[in-house]
Amino acid sequence: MDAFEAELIGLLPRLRAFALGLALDSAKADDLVQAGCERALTHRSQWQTGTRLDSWMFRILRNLWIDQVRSAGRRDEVDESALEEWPSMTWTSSTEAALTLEQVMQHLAKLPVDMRTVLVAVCVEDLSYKEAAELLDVPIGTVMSRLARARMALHKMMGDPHGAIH
Amino acid sequence: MAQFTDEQLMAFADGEAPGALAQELRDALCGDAALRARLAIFEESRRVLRRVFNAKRAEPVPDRLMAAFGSAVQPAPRAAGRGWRNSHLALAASALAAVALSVGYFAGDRSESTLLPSAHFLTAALEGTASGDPFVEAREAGRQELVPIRTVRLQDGSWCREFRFAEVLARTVNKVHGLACRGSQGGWSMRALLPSSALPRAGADGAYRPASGVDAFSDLGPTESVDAAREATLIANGWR
Repeated sequence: MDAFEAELIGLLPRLRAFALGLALDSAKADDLVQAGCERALTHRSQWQTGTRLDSWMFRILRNLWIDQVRSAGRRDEVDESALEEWPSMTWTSSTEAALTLEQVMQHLAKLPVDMRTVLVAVCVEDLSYKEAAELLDVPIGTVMSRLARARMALHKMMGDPHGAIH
Repeated sequence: MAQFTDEQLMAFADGEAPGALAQELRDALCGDAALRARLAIFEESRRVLRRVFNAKRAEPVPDRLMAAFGSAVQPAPRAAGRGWRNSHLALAASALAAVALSVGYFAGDRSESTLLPSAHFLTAALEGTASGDPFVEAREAGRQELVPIRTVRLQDGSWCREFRFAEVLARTVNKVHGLACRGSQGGWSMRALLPSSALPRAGADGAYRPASGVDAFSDLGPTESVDAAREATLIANGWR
């Protein structure tokens, strides 16, 4: 095993969490990480030494996931305009602490995949807005607008104990 | 009264607001409960997502994900109930010759894991902290601490630092011993993981004592050591 593989193995816990934000299901997320590692090992010559392997892997995972969604003919893309329609609910700290993984996944499922990507990239992985923009190949303004709307939508959904769209 | 957009409040919550906006917001937040409530929305979503996803990151990596690295893995002796640890140990054994890996990741008990520090945290900690001093950041559910151990200059002129890192969460402790180097844009990023057994012990005079048989920087080519005085100057001058 060489340094590339060692670094990749070190990233696995983070890649699994990132993939969960895309796939919203633990088994599918691990399938995605597995496919991502295989692709990375096959195409390792495309990775430039000295650049960040984590960002490169996040991009691979995101592209693989979007390919999968498209080839399955699924319409993963939630209509962004629907996000504004949820009623605002009261958010309390007890609501926040009681949220389970499953509930958060149910809420995230109502967001388009690129909103979920940017949420996990910034809020979990601590990527800067600029790094998230590079990951998604969009301007920083687009990252900020998606991120703000995703977090407002999450706030409204999490305040609702049933997470239902009204 | 100034009106702030959701995006401006979010950028402030995320530490991405430009200085003038940040100052304006700090002033406005003091006397404006409604504005504080809007800001809290963004702080809370980050907190919830981190809590949920950090729990995922703390899980042991399943065996099947290691299959992609099959060519490098020796057949692992498997004892009942200890499967993933043993296969990792076998893999670690084959890895040590090529690159030193964190022993904690492979051999630690289930309450330990190796999550690398984020590039943001690395940069915040390594850019301005002298070797031997801890850089601590309180988190929602614990804290992260990084102590730089020593600084060297590579032949290409770039700066690298050996460090130890610990992330203490509610039920897990995550320890990393590693090397990070400063990129041309000023950010610090991981270059290598090192076995925790290779952590140097400081001598009575505070000088660096390499662990026996291990040179943390050996994979990076010839290096030039940087003493405390020069390191202080580098930190003061933004590594120029």
